[in-house]
Amino acid sequence: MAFFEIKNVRIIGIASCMPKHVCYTKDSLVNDKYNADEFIRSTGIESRRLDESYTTSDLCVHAAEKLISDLKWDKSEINVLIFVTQGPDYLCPSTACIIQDRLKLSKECYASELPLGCSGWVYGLSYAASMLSRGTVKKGLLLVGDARLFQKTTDPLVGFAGTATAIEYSEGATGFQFHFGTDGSGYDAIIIPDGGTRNQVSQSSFELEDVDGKKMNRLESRMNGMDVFSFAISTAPKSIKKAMTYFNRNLSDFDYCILHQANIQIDEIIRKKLNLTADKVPYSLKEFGNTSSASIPVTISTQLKGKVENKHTEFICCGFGIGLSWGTVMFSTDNLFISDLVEV
Amino acid sequence: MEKLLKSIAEILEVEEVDCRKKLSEYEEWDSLAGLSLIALLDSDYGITMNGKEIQSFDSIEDLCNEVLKRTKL
Repeated sequence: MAFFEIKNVRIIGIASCMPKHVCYTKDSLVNDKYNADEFIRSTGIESRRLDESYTTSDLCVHAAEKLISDLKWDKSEINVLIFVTQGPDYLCPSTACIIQDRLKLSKECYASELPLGCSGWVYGLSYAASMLSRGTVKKGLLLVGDARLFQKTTDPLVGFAGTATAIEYSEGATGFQFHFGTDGSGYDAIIIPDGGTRNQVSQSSFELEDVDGKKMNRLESRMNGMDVFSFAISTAPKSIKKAMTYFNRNLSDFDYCILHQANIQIDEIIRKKLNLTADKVPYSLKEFGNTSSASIPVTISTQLKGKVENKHTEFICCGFGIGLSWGTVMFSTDNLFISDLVEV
Repeated sequence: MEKLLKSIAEILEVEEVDCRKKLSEYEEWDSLAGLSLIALLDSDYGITMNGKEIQSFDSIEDLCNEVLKRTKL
């Protein structure tokens, strides 16, 4: 029963950064099986932001700088930095340490990295919130994103994004209520087989293999779409329902339900299972694609800008995917600050 | 059974399915068709099946029998 409640902490602001370069599905799809229209219909993705000259940490640093400056935060007060990504700058050291220096944060900083994908923002939030809820540290940054193509030329889903979420100790705040789950038996549903210590890089890592009709090498990420699909449509609604039952909440309590932007079919099935109207479940998928762990903050910052800034808003968010790993979080914001989208 | 066969025929884009055939013997059977079938079993029958399971059946008839068995439980 992985339920947690963490009080006295709240989200103050969110910023997202993406590359300027827009990649349109209709221009870029390399697949003889489906045409672009069919692909857009089944995924809901019309365009994405891609630019391989940026790493995840580059995008997150831009988002963080913008948010820190918008909030007029004193950098010396930021003593918690959590970086969530599946695309670190190096295999080691931790990119979180590098970001501490790039942002010129105090050396009195707890910096740690969490290698999770689509569930990553929710997990990262639980880390940051639990560090801050004690009140000994007042301000923390959660930097989350991925800027890495699954496959070099044919990846049709992924959009690059780096996000920053500003979290603050706040005496008396209702905080966060979480439900988490993990099923490592599905570890190979989405996997890069080589490059870690289990299968170290060798000559054979570069040899092309036939994976579900596609040629790819063992350093590219492969996905068993059907397994991920059946996992997502069954697990995400269950996690949301479990969280609500445990904490005695109702879906009608929430202004918005933000789902990981997997693809339109998955998200629509989840939305319908929860009987939620479309206006409560905004999507950033159409314009920005599947932005991995960044998809929840990207959806909030691009789709809810102008709708949540000057009021109280109740959120329920669910991230689910690679691991397999999932998490649901419920929280409220008052006058949430959303920075303008940073484009680099 | 008839309703399920009709839905499978729609997914495979054929008039009628031959129960003795495997899903993979149909030209239209691919990962997108698989997703449609998983979604159908989930929404209309309340059954969660993953890709491996769906493709493990020797015939469409076996798949249908399994679905019927599970819906009766």
